[in-house]
Amino acid sequence: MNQTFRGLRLEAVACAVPAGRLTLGDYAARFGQDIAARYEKVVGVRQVFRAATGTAAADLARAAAGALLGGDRAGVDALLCVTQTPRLDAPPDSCLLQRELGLGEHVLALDLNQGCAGFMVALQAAAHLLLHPAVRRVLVCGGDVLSDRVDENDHATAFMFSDVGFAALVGRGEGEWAFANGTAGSKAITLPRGGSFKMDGTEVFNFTISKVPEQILSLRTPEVDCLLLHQSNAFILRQIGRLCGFAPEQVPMNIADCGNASSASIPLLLCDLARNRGWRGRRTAILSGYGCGLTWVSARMPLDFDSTQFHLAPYQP
Amino acid sequence: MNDADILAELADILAAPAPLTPETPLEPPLTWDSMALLAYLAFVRLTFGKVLPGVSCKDFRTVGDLLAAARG
Repeated sequence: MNQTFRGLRLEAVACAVPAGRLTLGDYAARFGQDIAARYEKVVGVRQVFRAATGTAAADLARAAAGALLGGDRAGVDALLCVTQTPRLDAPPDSCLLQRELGLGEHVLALDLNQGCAGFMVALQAAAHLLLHPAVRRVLVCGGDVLSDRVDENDHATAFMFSDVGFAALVGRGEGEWAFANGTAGSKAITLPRGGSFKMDGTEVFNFTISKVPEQILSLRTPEVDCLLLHQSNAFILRQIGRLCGFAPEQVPMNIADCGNASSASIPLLLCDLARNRGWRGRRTAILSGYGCGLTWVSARMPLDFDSTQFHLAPYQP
Repeated sequence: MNDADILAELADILAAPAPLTPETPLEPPLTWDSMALLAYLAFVRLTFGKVLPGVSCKDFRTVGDLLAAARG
């Protein structure tokens, strides 16, 4: 389904990054130099962020939202929390975060159980909420702590995920956001209750080189100058970029130093581009998130790296 | 793309130390693992516009099997 929303603005994006690191050297020590070298060449990860034991995704999300909001809670009428790793089955993290963030009791608080496509799903949901004039701003936040949900003996997934929290504030402005979304009832990626992350690599790969490029191309217009992808795997990102006709420099990556940060992946890329790589001015981007579900959501939207605020905050427990 | 071109691509994917023939088995010194499979699937998608669903490494025993699936 393709939908276009007018009058939107990405006001701010923030990420909270824990201090813990797992490096390719740690991975090589466990699985051997040959596997590590091959993993780096294909998957492209050299480092992932690890939260300390006991840190929840909502803790990271709260830190990101706190950095983003500062003292300004005005007009936040909805709070969407995206995570696959909530603190409890109930109550929802969004309800707890309403109080922890000092938001008003009128806030519509809603959890979204989504993985790597989660940021884009939440942006699309925020755009829907903002169709109602009573909703002035939507705070989207979330992330995952997956470091304790991977099989440490599985070389394919043990060194993939980063624990990162994100927040983004969506409000009213001049932007036109064109979304395309899809979901396909597949268990190719699963996170069983109390169990470890599992993935059917071939099915996921075939999905990412067929459905995702098709969706991106459905949104591509001449003014699009960059493609900001969920950072899943460097090899896959290069294939999607090629299939969609983008030059490598139009498809920035930070998976080497940041790993796969699940739903925080695209916010982390945005903050990295703004804070560390000198991206300035206006862009017309296609953002694309894809992951468990299988779910894939992309959006064409204007980005203004001058007026949107970007924060990269170290997480302090 | 002719078979020689495809074999050259496969040699890169498989990190082959010597030229490949269709009879070459997918075993050491070739590197045929889950990561090579992804590279092969990407090559088939980009070159032939085909997606090969449900395949795994053990579905292919020789370089000729890879050629046949790409062309089939």
